[in-house]
Amino acid sequence: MNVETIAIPAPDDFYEAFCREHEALTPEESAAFNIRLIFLLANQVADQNVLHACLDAAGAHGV
Amino acid sequence: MIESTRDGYRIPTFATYAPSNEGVRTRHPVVVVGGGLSGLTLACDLAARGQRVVLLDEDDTVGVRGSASRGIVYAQKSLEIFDRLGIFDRIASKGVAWSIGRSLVEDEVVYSFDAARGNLSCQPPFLNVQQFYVEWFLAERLHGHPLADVRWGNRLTDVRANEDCVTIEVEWSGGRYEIDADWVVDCGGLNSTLRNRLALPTYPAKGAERWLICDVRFSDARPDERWTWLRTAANEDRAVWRHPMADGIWRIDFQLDAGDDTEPSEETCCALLRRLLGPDVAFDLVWYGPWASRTHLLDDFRCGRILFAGDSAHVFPPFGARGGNSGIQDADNLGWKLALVLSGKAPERLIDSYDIERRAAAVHNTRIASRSLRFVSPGTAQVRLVQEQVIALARRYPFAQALVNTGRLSEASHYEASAFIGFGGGSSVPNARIELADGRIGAVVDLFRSGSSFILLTREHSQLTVANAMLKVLSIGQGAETDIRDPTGELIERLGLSRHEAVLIRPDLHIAGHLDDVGQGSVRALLAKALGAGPPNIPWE
Ligand SMILES: Cc1cc2nc3c(=O)[nH]c(=O)nc-3n(C[C@H](O)[C@H](O)[C@H](O)COP(=O)(O)OP(=O)(O)OC[C@H]3O[C@@H](n4cnc5c(N)ncnc54)[C@H](O)[C@@H]3O)c2cc1C
Repeated sequence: MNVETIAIPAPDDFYEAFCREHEALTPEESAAFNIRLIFLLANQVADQNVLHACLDAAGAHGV
Repeated sequence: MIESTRDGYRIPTFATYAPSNEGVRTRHPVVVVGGGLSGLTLACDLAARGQRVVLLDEDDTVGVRGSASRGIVYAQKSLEIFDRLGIFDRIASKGVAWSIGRSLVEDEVVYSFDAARGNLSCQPPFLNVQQFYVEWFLAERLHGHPLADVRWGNRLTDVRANEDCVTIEVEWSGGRYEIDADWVVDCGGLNSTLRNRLALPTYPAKGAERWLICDVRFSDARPDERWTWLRTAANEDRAVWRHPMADGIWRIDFQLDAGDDTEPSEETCCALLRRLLGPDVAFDLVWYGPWASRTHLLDDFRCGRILFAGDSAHVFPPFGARGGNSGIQDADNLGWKLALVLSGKAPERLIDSYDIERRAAAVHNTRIASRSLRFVSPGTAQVRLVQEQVIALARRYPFAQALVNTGRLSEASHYEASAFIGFGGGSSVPNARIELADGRIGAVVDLFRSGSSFILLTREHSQLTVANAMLKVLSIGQGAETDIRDPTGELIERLGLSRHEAVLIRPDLHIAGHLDDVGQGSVRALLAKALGAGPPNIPWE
């Protein structure tokens, strides 16, 4: 899992695009959107170790 | 045997066994307590192996609670075991074979599978039939067997473990008596008396969600497939399961409102069915009953000379038909071990492998079935949201369909490498079609129908001769000179024989291990390991 260097291309673009998606959403819709996005991304990552490491890193113990 | 009619089914009633000499305590090699799927399979298996067996059952018929269909899905490994025991044809002519499952949301299919892909077995992936029919066919098989002493209407009331045997107290309509046994196998189900008498902890838990089974007769042109609706307006946006069974009867299982604990009535069932089937379909409600999912698991499937199999030892959430099918595999795993230990051909230590292998299988089944339960009945609002969004993805994108989990159906267990299983072993050998040396077409189980020999399958013609009563050596290949021919080569591939020289197959058709260099010494060592007679200094112990 890479947490040291950014690999997202044009990170500010992505941040903006991600927030734009959320701006129009209710908290409930936003949570739903995130779930769909995460499963789509997980399918792109396609690496069990990385996925589990990301689950850990995102959890309360990770941050 | 008298056949009587119950709920429109014809069901056998068996004569109560009356002991001939109540005052005298007799001793038996094996007593199996409980004539459900597990106990009947085990008793048939032992008898087929040439082992005398006593079977006790408190009831005088098959099935429970009237004619509840109970376990209806028999998975391939169970069907292969039934083939070995000689009752597959009867089950197949009664039941409904299927391989395709579909999960739906309203009328949209969000996931489907076809388990027939890559099937090498002579048995279909699944066959649906009411549990009492399977029990009936097993009981009939047993009644015809001279080594089986079947005691209907005889109930175990108490148990005492002694140094070298187990004493059990039995009650029947005419009184009570005691018998001694070298080994007792408890197949007494969820509320086993024997297990309760020993006060062994099982850590029971009951799920919050509730379901209602309706066994319904109606005619339908739809194909024989398993359909599971995760949500349908016909059941107030809750789930419905629908399976074909024998006699033109369907199992329709309605997910109920978890908060509503009113006892469902016949009217409730008919109203639900009317909504699901539409106004024009004539139907006949054969049986109904509510259920909630339960789990329990014994710490140890062996307690001295007492062994536990089936629901007595483990209960899983019912998703994936793992309950009955795992009890049948417990029996399949234990039969040959008891037969070999009792005939002095294997050390008693072999029995330890039963707990190692089947408890691990139960832990695995609990995990797999619990995942389906989580998908179908999310426990919290957040987890429900995850489920809903995964379903939303599945409706749009094919990749997400694989996440839809309405039950991962029971498969043959895989046993991990252990003191008894060599590296790379543990998987089950499919009951593939083979050509025997004399040109007859047969199947793998034909090599294992009686006795408890191991079979070493070697590539092409082997010069190996191992003088051992426990072992048959057979060559497999495509040439005319081999003992067994595998015309397509698919079985050879599945057995790992494209990479290894030989494979040792246990009497339960699980692989004991592979060999790369086949010689007297290596074969003997692997056989000794599989029998529990290997060197005692095994690293993992
Ligand atoms: C509603 C429902 C639906 C199910 N659906 C499925 C399914 O689709 N697929 C599946 O694989 N499984 C299913 N199951 C689970 C399956 O029915 C059980 O896992 C299976 O019956 C276990 O078999 P068993 O032989 O271990 O126990 P049981 O079938 O419970 O048999 C126990 C036997 O022991 C006897 N007995 C009990 N106490 C004594 C005593 N003291 N003395 C003598 N005899 C005694 C009883 O008479 C009985 O015959 C379902 C269960 C239920 C209740």
